[in-house]
Amino acid sequence: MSEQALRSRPAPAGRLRTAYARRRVARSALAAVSWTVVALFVLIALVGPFLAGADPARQTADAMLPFGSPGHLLGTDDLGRDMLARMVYGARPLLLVAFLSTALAAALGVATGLVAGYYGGKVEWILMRVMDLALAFPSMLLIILIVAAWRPGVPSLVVGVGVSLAPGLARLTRALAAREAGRDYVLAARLGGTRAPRVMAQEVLPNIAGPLLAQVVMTLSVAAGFAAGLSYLGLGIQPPTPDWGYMVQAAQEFLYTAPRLVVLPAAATLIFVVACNFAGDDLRDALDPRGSR
Amino acid sequence: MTTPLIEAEALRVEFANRVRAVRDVDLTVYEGETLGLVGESGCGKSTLGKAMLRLIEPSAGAVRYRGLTITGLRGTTLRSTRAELQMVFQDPFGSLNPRRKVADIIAEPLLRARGADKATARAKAAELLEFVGLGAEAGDRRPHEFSGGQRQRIGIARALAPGPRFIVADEPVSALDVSIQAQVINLLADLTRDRGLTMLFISHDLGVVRHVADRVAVMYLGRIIEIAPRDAFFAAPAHPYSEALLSSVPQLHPGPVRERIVLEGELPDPAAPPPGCAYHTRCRLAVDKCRTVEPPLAEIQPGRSVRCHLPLVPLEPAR
Repeated sequence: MSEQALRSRPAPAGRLRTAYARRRVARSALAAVSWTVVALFVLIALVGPFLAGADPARQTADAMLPFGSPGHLLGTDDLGRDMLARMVYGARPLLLVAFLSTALAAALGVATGLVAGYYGGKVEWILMRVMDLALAFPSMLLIILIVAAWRPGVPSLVVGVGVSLAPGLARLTRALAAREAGRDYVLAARLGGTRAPRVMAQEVLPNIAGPLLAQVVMTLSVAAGFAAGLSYLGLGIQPPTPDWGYMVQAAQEFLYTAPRLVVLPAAATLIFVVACNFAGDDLRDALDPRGSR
Repeated sequence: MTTPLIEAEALRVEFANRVRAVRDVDLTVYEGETLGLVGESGCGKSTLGKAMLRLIEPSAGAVRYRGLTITGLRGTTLRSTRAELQMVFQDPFGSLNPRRKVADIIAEPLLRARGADKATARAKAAELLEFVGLGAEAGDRRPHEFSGGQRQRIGIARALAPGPRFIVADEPVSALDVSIQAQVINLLADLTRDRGLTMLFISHDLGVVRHVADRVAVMYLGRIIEIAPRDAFFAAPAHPYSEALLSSVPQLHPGPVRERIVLEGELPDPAAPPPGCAYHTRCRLAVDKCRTVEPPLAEIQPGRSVRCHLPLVPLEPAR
């Protein structure tokens, strides 16, 4: 169907229409909030540390200060470190790992899926079985194996999370690329003497980029979840670098006496993950009107 | 019109679901002619056209282009040969990449198959856009800004870009409004005449085929069942199926009312074609022999062959 035909789809009448409109507005409001949150987190990770003022690693005698203490807006932790500074600095490793591992997963998954979907047949079978192999391990186990075999830190975390998230993207890309590879404009490009790699990059990829991009943003939220989870288990970012996942784990014993030490980093992680998810949803709806509702 | 340009030899195409879309087809297209290929939906005519260009890999048989076997060609040789074999597609909305500018779409085969530099390719694309009646400024726009008929003109310009000698036109007007069809048909007819192109014109519309084709081939369930010069074919079809197809075309001119033959039943399952003559299940003349023995494609007149035990046109005695 043509884009014009889709755009001019008549809106339903009467009460239905009101409900339809209300849902649309609610959706777009949620989307706006989600995108703002994602942007805010990125901004905090980028410039926050320059504005935080305090050194997140400097220990003081003022341990366990509550919210709103002078000089320590969010109080201090059990070692007297400024909580605000730790929260702001803690955004960095999480976002860094989330973005890098998503980029790695996208590079691996999209390349594999594109080649598999375009060629089909044996090539597809082999490539997708390799991806299934990665999928056969529970993600967390696979990441732990990689991190443990290497050494905990950003590089091993990025590789582990990236590799474990690649198959999902590969499968989506393969399905989209296979559908597109049979389209007449792809046949026309082949007839015109365009080589396969260029056909994939120039004809197929731009036409499947919409749903892929949406899935990549969703993958970002999963990657952030894994990164935080591994740090919580002590396999991710190593102290003294402040990291939300590790902060939750370290503060567990104070859950009842000073819940903010746990709740703040946990809530921050959760908000980022959820915001990425809704943002991805919104992106998918915006870029692919066929798939929505 | 006696030099074969492209030939299919015992060409067979099977899909993964065991459907044999093209069953051992022999077909010769002569230099400079337009061969109309007709048949109902699903008879394998598009598949045959695509297999002749190797857009679909045949599972058996061969395609020869000017004496060179192109089935089995790979890489650079395939690409340079295929520049001379182009296609105009059926769906003008699916045959143009929506993300690219029209000029880039048309310049692509020049850059890739002919190794032209960018400036030359752009100039040639502009020239081709003028030629198909759109104007060079159309090149800066994207496909969605054009109507179906205009898009089909873009598709024709792209097919012409690498300087082909053979064009497969796969139902090039069936997706267009009737008012636009004639313009596009005439553009294709002019092309073949002025540029000396050879064309395989695939259609289910016999009226259109009558207008453009020099010869007509009729396909049924993956086989060619009749092939004849246009005038002979339209004057008196030799195969009962051709007769039924022709009787379904509305007549424009007053005259003796043709008997309308309504085809009964569905097209048989192409994965399990009936034994004997594939058409016997729907044929008004079928006899016992038709149910068991498959007729060969036999020449009944010079240049005219039919695959039927009881052809409607009497055999011309060999001189």
